[in-house]
Amino acid sequence: MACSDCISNAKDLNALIEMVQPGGENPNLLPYSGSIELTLRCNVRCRHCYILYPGATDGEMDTQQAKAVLQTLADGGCIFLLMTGGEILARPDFKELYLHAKQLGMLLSVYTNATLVNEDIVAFWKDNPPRRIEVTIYGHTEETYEKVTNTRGSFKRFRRGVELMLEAGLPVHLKMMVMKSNVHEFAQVRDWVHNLTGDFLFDKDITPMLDGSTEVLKERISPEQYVLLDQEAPDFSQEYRAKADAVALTTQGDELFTCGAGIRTFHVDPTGTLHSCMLWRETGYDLLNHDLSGWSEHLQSAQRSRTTTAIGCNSCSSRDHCGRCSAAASLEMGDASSSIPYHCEITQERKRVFGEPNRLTLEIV
Amino acid sequence: MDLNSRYKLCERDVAEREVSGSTLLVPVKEAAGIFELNEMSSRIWQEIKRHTVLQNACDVLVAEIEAVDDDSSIEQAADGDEAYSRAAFQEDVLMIASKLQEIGAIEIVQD
Repeated sequence: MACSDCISNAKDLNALIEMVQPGGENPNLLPYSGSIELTLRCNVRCRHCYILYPGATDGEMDTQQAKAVLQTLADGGCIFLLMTGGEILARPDFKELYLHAKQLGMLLSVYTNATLVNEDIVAFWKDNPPRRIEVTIYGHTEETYEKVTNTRGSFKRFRRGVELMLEAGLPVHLKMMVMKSNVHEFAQVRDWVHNLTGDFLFDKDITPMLDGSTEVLKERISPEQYVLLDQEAPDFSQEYRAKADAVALTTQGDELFTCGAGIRTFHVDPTGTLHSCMLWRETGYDLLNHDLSGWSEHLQSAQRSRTTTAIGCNSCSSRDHCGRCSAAASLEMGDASSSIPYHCEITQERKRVFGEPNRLTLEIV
Repeated sequence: MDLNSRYKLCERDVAEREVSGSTLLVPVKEAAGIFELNEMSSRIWQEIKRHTVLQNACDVLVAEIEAVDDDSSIEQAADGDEAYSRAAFQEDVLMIASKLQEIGAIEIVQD
């Protein structure tokens, strides 16, 4: 009667994801995938950082509170959890929290700058491996790297940390955070990473600090540089065209949130507050003092939000391939319905480089 | 491993999850392993957790099946093409226990 599938290795994670999708029978389920900021503390002081403001580290959960929140996330059905910061290794109880989450049956990914990675943490991860370790790179030379991190000695520690993890065969993925101070070393970083892992990632979006301060935005690269880097992704041009042509034929409603925030992902900050995404922190849900029974209603209330402008981004033919989102607009412009001029400029540049959406062709098809 | 093997649970090494009505086993020592138990193996796993010798778990499960309907007793069904005898059931329990051991959910204890 037993068959070979009695205990099956769920290698097909997509099938598993289908199985655990929230909604329907149990409204108290969270999305299967989310992130938690264990701390906003960090050992480096990056020029572009969105959490480097006075008071950012106030009210962080202690070990027992963080464990209780991890339990709530597991009870809510979370399977894939990203642990991020700040710098996760700046928390003295990191290993305890990580192991707790593993023992709750969650598959973990971690973001780190690698400057605090040593033999001890490598041995720990070797014993209790994460699915993925993503390390941010701030430059190819010591001078540039430390110009970004504002921390002497951080470059050597970063390189050593990466070396230790790669030697141990840990699943390291290297990602460059591209900004004005290091964009001139983009090609060197890319080639270095290709030689090391063959899998190069980069991020070029800088957002205001969570307290609304905008001085970090001066580190943004120009729209021309931004679009030039778009072309580093092999299929970007084709994907852009397909999306642009498709969106030209559709009309947009007035929903403020049309992304998967809260539906496909969630985010928990270091105070134990649950958010629908990492950037939108205006309508948080207190996980330390509440179970998940009120989350669904709370989220639906945010999803009912509507734009306050009848025209603008929602009627823009570039809306689906523009980097703007309502959370970022709220932070940068003080109005979630607003456009973000930087992203409008990028969109114009993309049209110039990749061409206008082709409405006529698709209508005929 | 046989039915008289003594085992212990490795609860710290393998997490058990109930998600959307499915039982999942997640080995802590693996980066991304998730094992899904079907209905039958899930029931057997629940009973294995309550005992320390497979034979004892097996006895409870056999009694449970026979109590549901005497006509479908696994002893009486032994002769048919689709026979599911006590011996076959025990083999299944052994197979599932082996897989649980492979995953790291149970460990055989040497006497």
